[in-house]
Amino acid sequence: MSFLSEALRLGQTPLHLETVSGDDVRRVVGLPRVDASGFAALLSPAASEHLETMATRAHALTLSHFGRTVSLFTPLYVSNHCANHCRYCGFAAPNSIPRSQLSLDEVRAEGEAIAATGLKQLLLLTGEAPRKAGVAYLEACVQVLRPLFPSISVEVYPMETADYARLTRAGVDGLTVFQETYDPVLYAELHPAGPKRDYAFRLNTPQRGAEAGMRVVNIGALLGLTDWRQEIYAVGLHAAWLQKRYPGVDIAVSLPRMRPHAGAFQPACIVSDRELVQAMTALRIFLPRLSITISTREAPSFRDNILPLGVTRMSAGVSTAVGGHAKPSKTEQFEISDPRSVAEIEAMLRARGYQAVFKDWEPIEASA
Amino acid sequence: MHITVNGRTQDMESGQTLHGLILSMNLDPSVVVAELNQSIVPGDKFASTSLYDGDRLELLSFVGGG
Amino acid sequence: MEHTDIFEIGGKRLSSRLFTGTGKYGNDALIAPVCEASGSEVITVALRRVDLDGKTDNVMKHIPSHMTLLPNTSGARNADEAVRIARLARAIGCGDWIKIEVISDNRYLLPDGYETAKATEILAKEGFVVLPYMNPDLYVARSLADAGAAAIMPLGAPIGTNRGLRTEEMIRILIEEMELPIIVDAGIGAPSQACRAMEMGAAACLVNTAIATASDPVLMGLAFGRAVTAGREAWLAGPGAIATLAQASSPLTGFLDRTEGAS
Repeated sequence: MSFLSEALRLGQTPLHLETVSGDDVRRVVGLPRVDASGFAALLSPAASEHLETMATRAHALTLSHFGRTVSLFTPLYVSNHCANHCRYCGFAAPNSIPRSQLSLDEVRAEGEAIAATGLKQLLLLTGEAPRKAGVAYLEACVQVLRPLFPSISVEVYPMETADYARLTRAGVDGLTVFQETYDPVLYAELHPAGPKRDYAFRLNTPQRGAEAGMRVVNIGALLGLTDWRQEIYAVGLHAAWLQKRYPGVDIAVSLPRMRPHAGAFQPACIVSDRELVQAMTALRIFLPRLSITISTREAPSFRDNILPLGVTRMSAGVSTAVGGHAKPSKTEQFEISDPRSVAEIEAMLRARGYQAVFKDWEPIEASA
Repeated sequence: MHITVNGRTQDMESGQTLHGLILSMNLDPSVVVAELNQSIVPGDKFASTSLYDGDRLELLSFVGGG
Repeated sequence: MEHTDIFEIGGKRLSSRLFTGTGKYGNDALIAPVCEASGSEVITVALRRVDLDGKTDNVMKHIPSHMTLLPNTSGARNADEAVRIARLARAIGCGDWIKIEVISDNRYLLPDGYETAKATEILAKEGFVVLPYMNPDLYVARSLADAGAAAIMPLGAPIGTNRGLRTEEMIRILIEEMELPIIVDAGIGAPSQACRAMEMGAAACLVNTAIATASDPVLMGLAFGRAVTAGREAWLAGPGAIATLAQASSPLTGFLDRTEGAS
C-alpha cells in the first residue's frame, strides 16, 4: 500500500477552486477539524481575501501545539556530485560547476565549526551519486558527526529501506525528501535523465524512511515549478497519509520557494509572499501537528514576519555550497537570502518572544 | 447413574440422550446450548448424543443483558 | 422525509443506529414494545446457565424475530472465558455477532483492553462479527482493528452510571483516527447524550440501562430513537462555522501589505 495511486489520481483530477466562496472559507476556518475538502477551500483564490482569519487560526494552533519555540538546524553539503539532470537545480549533471566531496577529515572540520555555533541538529546533503557518495560514505560521515550532533537528518538520493535502516543504525534520525512536483507529467519533463526520473520510487521514499525507523520524515514540493495550489494540496494529502499510516513518526513539511541559481531554468510560476503565507496557514489548519520548516531561501524580514504563522523549524548559519562552514566555498546549490548566523537568528527569536531550541532529542545508544 | 448438570448432581436413567434430558427438564432445545465435558454439542446432535455416568453438562441460554 | 442513511455492519444493512439491550427491565414484556417504538434493529443478550428450577422466563420470547442478536460475553474475566462464551452463544444458532465484554473490575465494570484484544483476534479468525467493548484508548482501538473487529465500542461512562459522555474527547479522537465504525456503548443516560455522540460522528449508540430503568421505557425508547436520528442527521448536514477567535488587533498578515511586490 502506498500513496502512489492517490498521487496519480490527484495528477489526473486537478482541484477546481474557482467556485469556493468567502463564506466557504470562513466556515472551514471555524471548524474544529478540517478535512481534505476544507483544506482545498483554504487553498482557493477566495481564501486569499481571508488571510488574516486563517493566520489567526494558524497562530492559535501553532501556539497550542508547539508553544513559542523554533528548532534550529543547518545543512551541511558533503558532496555535490550528481547524476541527475534536474532542469531547475544548480547541481545538475550538465552544469559545469566545480564538483567536490568532503573527506572525512573535512567533514569533521565542518562539523566542529558548526557545533561551535551551538547547533545540535544537522542536515546532511548530497546529490545523487551513489558510487561516490553512497550509503557507506554517508554512514562514515555520520559516524564522524554523531559525537558532535544528537540529531542528524539526511537529504540525499532516494534509497532502499535497508539502506535507510543502515543509516538509522548509524545514528540518523531524520529523512528529508522533496517530490519537487507531484504532477507526473511535469515531473517527467523536469527530470529528463538520471535515476531521479523514477517518480514512483521517489514518491514512496518517505514511506521507506518511516519503515526503516526514521523518527522524522520531511516532505515538500519545490514551489514555482507549477500551480502552487495543486502542489500544496498534494503535499498536504501526502503528509496526512503518512501521519495516519505512521503515527509514531514526526511528519514534517518544508516550503522551498524557487530562487535564482546556476542554469537557465526560471520558475514557471512566481509564488508571491501572500501565496506562501496562504499555503503555510492552510497546512497548519489542516494538520495542526505538522512541523513546518522555512529555509534561508527566504529573506530575513519575511522569515521573521511569518514566525507566528506556523514555522517550527528554521535553518541558521547556512551555506549551500559543499562544506562552507570551516572555509568559505562558492558552489552553492541555490543562492541564500538569509545569511544570518546562528547567534543573530537566536537573538531575533528572543526579541520576538520565541525560544530557539537547539536540542530536542537525544537518542539512547543501543548497547554494542 | 449420576451426571452433573450446571454444577448440580442429577440422577438419571442410563441410555438417556441429551435431547431427552432437556425435554424432561421442560426446556426448549432450540434455545439452549449444551457443553458436555467442555465441548459444545451442536443442536442437531442432541438426539444422537447419549449421556454416561460422570458426565459434566452445562446448559445455557440467553437471558437479559446489556 | 425519505431516510436513506444505512449503517452497514457485519453483513447487515441497518436502518437504525440505536442498539438496545435486554438487561435490567422490571418486566421483560416491555422489550418488544421498546424495540418497536425505538426502531432499534440490534439487541444485546447475555448467556447464562439455564435456571433448572424453571423460574426464569426465556428472554428470546420477547425479542422480535427481525432483530439482530448481539450476545455479550458478560461474566468473562479474561480472553479465554470470553472466547468460550462466544462459542457457546453462537452454538444456539441465532447468528455470529458477539459483543466482547471482559471485565474483572467489579467496582466500575471497566473493560480489560488487553484481554479484549486477545479475544477479538481469536474470534475474528473463527468468523465471528466481533464488536468489542472498550475504554476509549487509541492504542487499544488500533489493536482491536488489527485483530479484525467489525466496530469499536468505547464507553461513554462506566456501565450503569448514566453519566453521559465523560469520555467525549477520547471518543472524538477515535472517531477521527479510526476507519472502523465507533459505537458508543455504556453510560448514555439521556437522549440528548446519544444525540451528542451521533453529532460527533459516532456510527451508532448502544443504550440499555437508560431505557430499561425509565419510568416509561417504551416512551424513552421512542425518545432515544429520535435522538439518535437527529444527531445523525446533524452530522450528515455538516456543522456551520463556530467563530471562536476574535480578530487580533495587530494583524498577523499586515506585513504582506507593506512588502513590495510579489516574490
